[in-house]
Amino acid sequence: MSSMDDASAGLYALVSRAVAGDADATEGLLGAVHRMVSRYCRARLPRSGGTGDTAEDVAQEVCIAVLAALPRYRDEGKPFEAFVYRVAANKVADVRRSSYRGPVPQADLPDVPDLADGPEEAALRRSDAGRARALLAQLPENLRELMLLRVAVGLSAEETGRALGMTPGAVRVAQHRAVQRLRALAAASDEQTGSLS
Amino acid sequence: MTRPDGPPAGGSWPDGIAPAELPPDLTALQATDALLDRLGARAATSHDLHDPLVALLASLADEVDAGPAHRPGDRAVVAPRPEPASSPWPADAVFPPHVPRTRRAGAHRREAASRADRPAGGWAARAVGAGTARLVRVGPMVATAAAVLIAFGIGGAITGDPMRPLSGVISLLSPQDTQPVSVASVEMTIARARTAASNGQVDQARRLLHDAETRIDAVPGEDAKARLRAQIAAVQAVTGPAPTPAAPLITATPPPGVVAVSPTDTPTTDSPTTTGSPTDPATSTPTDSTPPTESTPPTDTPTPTVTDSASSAGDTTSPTPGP
Repeated sequence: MSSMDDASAGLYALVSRAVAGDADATEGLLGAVHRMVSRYCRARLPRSGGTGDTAEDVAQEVCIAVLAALPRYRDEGKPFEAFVYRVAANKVADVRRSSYRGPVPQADLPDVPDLADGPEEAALRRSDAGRARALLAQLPENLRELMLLRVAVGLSAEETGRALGMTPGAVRVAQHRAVQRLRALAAASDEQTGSLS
Repeated sequence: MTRPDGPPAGGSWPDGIAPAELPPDLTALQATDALLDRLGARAATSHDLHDPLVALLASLADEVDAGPAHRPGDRAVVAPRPEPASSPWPADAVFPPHVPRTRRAGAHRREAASRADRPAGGWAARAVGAGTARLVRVGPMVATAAAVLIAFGIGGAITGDPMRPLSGVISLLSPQDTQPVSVASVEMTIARARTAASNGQVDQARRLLHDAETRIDAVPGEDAKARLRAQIAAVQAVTGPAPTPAAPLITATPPPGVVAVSPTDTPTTDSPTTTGSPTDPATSTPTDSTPPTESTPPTDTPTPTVTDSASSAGDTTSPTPGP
């Protein structure tokens, strides 16, 4: 807990100095914000075809948005992490809305060897990950955000509470109920699949 | 074994949906919390992965950790996952979350599937059957490789340096050795040192300062180097100079006839300044795409994106609380 408090205090020190116009603190803060939202954006935006870097682009946009909003940011007693993740959630929602209207880009042929997983491994992984996303999409928004922060981003219950404006105890109760719901939804989905086949 | 968060033993939930209004058991809460901690830390056990839901969630985490898709010329995707060495957080901080991963959760399942699919006679038996045809294909490649090695050997004998003919190939294959270190990563290390010094952790602050000093030579731009050295000096005024462990070994026993190297010269010629850069997250991340700090200064970017971002950011200064 003490190291986490130190981390939180370090972040708030960076924020206050960045708001005051310290360029060094602004750079450091942007690096911290990028690490905070990078996994979150990759979890919310699945990769498809040649659009694999959408999540990275959105993470950069979140950094820009936080940077633009920084001069107007006032510490009102709410965690800075909550501010950052709310900006990220809005950016992801914007991208998802625009993706329904946008053109479908095609992947360029690579000029260098691809050392990533092969097609079979990637398909299996995306299949499982896609099913996990489909199950999470059936949860209420607050539970979905909570599970993404805990599982995909890897935050602790305390950090998730700060990001969502909840107490750690409330996070633990809510995550338990979210897992219960996911189990029930997965079982219902399996039964439906079995009856169709 | 009944799962702590599952339905009651011997039955299922009445309508297929777990009743959220039931007060959860404290043990079940703790078990779920520990499970999610392991998933978030990418440290799910094989026992955990037997649960289909946990396996699905582990796959999601696995895909998230797989990083951005590979693009031609994008070396950061091919490079190993960087360590958050330049984080502004304390070294033992829990946030941002990073647990040293020895293997991904998906690897457990893939290896298990591979073992299950192994043929009865083993892979060796299958390989013997295909050996003859493979030799026919491999033969020309072996001959070509031998010719190349002979050519390089002759070149090495002529130049006196057996590695010299390969220097061009090495520099082509590993351009990361010359990859610059970003100013932000070094500044964040200095910021961590400053925080550690202000907290009384002098040893950690000195270690971070030493780390920053070793990487400062790879930072592009003399102005930036001077600025970073000034920042280091300011923190060193509080902590004292950073330790240089390699220096006494060089100056202790200079062989006769060899000019001794002074301790102040050794850090400038130390090779780790460039070898450490590919594992730096702040170095590889900005090179993936547009670095926000250098291309978008806060004062002169009223672009539509920023305006839109600011509006959405403005809506979120009072985030909605959770349940």
